[in-house]
Amino acid sequence: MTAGTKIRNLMRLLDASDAPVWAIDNAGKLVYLSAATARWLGVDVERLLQRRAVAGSPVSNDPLNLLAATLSPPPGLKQRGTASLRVQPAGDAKHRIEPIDVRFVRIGSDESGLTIAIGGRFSDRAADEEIADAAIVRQQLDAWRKRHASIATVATAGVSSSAKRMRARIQVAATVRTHIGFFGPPGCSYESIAQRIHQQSAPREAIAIVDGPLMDPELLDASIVPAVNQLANSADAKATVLVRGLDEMPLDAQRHLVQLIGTFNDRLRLLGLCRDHAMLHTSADIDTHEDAIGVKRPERQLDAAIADLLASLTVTIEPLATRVEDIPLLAAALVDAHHAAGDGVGERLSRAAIDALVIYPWPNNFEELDAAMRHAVRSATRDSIGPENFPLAIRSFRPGDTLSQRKVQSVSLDEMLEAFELKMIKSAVDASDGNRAAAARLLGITRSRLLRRIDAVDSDSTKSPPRPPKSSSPSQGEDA
Amino acid sequence: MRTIASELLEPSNDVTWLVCERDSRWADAARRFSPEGLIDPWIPVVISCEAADIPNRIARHRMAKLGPPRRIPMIVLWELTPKSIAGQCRVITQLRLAFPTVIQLAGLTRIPGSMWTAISELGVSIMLPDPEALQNVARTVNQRAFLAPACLG
Repeated sequence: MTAGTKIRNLMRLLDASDAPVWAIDNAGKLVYLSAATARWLGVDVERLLQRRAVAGSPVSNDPLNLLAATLSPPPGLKQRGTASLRVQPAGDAKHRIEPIDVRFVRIGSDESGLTIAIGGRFSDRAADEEIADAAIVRQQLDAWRKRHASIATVATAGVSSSAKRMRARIQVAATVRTHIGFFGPPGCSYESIAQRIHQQSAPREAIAIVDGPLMDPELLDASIVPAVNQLANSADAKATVLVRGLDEMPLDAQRHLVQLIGTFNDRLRLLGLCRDHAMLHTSADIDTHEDAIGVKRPERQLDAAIADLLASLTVTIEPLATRVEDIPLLAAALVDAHHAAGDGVGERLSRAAIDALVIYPWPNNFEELDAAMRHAVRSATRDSIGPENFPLAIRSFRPGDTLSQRKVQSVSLDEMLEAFELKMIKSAVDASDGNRAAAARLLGITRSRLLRRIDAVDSDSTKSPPRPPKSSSPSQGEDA
Repeated sequence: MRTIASELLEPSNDVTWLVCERDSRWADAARRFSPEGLIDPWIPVVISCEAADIPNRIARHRMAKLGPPRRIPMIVLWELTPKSIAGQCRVITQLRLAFPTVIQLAGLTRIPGSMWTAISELGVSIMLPDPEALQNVARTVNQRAFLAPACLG
């Protein structure tokens, strides 16, 4: 039988401590009281030993029995294992005993169990709101991990309908080997999701990854030649080609890819990463547009045959900005991952930090969130991450009032002022029941000036209808 | 499309969010999410204000003068905390009685779940446990309450 270490050292430390500590055996009798307990109670604690400290048990009139009873734990401790109580022994006229907060802990569950009582201040009774929030998020995260362990790419976490739909599709995609189209905005991490699906649905199958926009038929052949050789050498071999930016791939390269897939009778699988789901329904002639540096690039589009292949199974990843409710969970998962990887001390997000993440529009989606959380974990100096730990773009972001972002048309100031003046004149004339002299007084101008303005308007209105503010489209202005 | 300063001469198509809170947490969220699902020509405007100002601001709106059933295109977003809830509930109830078409939302901070039903009884339409919940709520409210400018009357 293995024995513990000597109890004497522990007793010495307990007696040296200024916190009252006592122990109650399984029968409810006091078996130990520390020196600090003796000072607190102001009695010789040897006399309290073996007296009953059981809540609700009858006690005699002996003051020491009464005192021992006040040291008892609250009812139900055996079931709960721990409890806190403010203990206030009665004392006597000479010696008033100060009440203290006591934490009772039940050690062991069988007949050899005992209860330890420790006096002191315990701040964990009032749960920290931030820690409680973090615990809730952690619970959600754990539940999500448990459920989606097989496809545990953090990017798929979330509680929104979009996230749920995406995970449902991914689960299907991970169980069948078929052509799959991934649709999502920049930075949505669909490449890692696609690779994860490939590992699940076709483990050990060769995968060739190509950049669609850079391809032409010859370059495509060169890029996937090892996979094609495998397929050519063995009738049982299978391979997958993952094409980044499939919708930006030149149409001739797309058609060549379709041809290859047809040649190997679907033993060559396509995982295509595209920007917009609407691509599946459009297959027009190729157009070009100039990009910011004046280079002509083809418009995004899919060849009809490629669209047919991808239509069998699609996974759509919505932008983060449209599923804001997923952000706390995603951010917590990323913080968790970076903290676990030893990136820094930050391990949970404060509520203010989550608020800052929620209002940020995330133009580069999940990858930007990932980078921001890595930065936050690294820059945090304590376990709680605040907004100050985020990159400047996020911590300084303030959503603009749409009032200041309104699309506006140019106007003529003279026409606007004239229209406003006429409204004022009309209002004044109405208010004075058509009396123009009274209306002029209301407006603080002379009657003759008022009449001149009215005459000018009348003559203008007979010549042409009132002019609206200038429009950016000349025809609109003329029509109006 | 509107012209600059067109509100001086034309009826406004603003959907005004009046945000009453201690800090700027909910106003920031309102600025971020108030355009969700809002169709042209409606334009969201977010204003932070004191609880006491809110009834006056609503009463000054030209739609308030027309009376029900025309909807006043204003949404009041209250931040309810254990400290502020007592005073704000009184104003929430007043608004509910005086301007029943004004949508009132409550952003809850440390309000126990047991009080939620009482808050809804006072006149708050939707309760928001955190700012991220505002995205879906704003989308729903905008799509259902502000369909077309015709409802301005």
